[in-house]
Amino acid sequence: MEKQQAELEINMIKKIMEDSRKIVIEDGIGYIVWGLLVFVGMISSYFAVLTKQYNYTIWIWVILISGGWAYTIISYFLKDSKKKASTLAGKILGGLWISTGISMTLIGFVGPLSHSIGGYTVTPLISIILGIAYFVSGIVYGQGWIRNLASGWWAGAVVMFFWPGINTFFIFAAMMALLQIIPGIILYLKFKKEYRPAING
Amino acid sequence: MDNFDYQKINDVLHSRIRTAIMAVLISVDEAEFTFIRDKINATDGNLSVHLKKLEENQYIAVDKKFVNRKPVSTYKITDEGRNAFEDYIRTLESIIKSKS
Repeated sequence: MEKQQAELEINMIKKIMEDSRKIVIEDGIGYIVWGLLVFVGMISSYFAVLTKQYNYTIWIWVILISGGWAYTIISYFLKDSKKKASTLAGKILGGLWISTGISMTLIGFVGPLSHSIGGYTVTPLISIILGIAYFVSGIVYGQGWIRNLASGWWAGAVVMFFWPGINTFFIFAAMMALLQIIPGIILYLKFKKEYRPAING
Repeated sequence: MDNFDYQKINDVLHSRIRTAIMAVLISVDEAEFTFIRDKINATDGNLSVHLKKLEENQYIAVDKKFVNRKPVSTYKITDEGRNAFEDYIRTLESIIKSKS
């Protein structure tokens, strides 16, 4: 075997491996959908507390979070039926976000309903969990900027712990926009631009 | 020819299409026949022959099942296949280095 042939073969292997691994690339839609739902929920909670309409708050959240889960479950089965290959990284990310979602749902609903978690403690706790999810996701995707978003979630948690009250809804809504919806849009644009042809091809 | 020894070249992997199949399978946990075919632009018949060869050498494992009454074959690289592929890459790298 000649040197040139060996180089060509190594390059071909690298290219195929790179292309095959693209199936773990996130399209960002899940980030945007969940981000918008929670954003709407936080703003609604803010005004519900401001106008003392406490009874509506829980129902708004039930509708929003049920909608989010319905979207997640349907899109999981739709993607799964079309999926022709799976990666360990994809399985880790899927497991991470499902377990994170369940944990946040429990903290958000069971915590306050059982009176074991105060209403204003929910958002900093959820911020801490999101920090973990973003940190691990960033490492698995190999995207430093996603990993760095974790610092924002953790810093926000510290602020909300020290400054509890109605303002936490507003802070969390702003964090959702900055640390989830906008990154979700960036991921979506990146996915559309770079990866869609490779996945369909 | 410096340090090159042709006997060190793995004959099973020393085929463009089989190397390509292994490159796909080492990158994923498991993949369907059609995924591999699309990634390496092979024809069904050609791919089947080379997958069979890799399977006979226990470099890959196949799981055949029916999904919506259609046969679906899913392939996975074995530990033996992974080791052989890594050795093959090392051989290629040594060829490049030995002649530079």
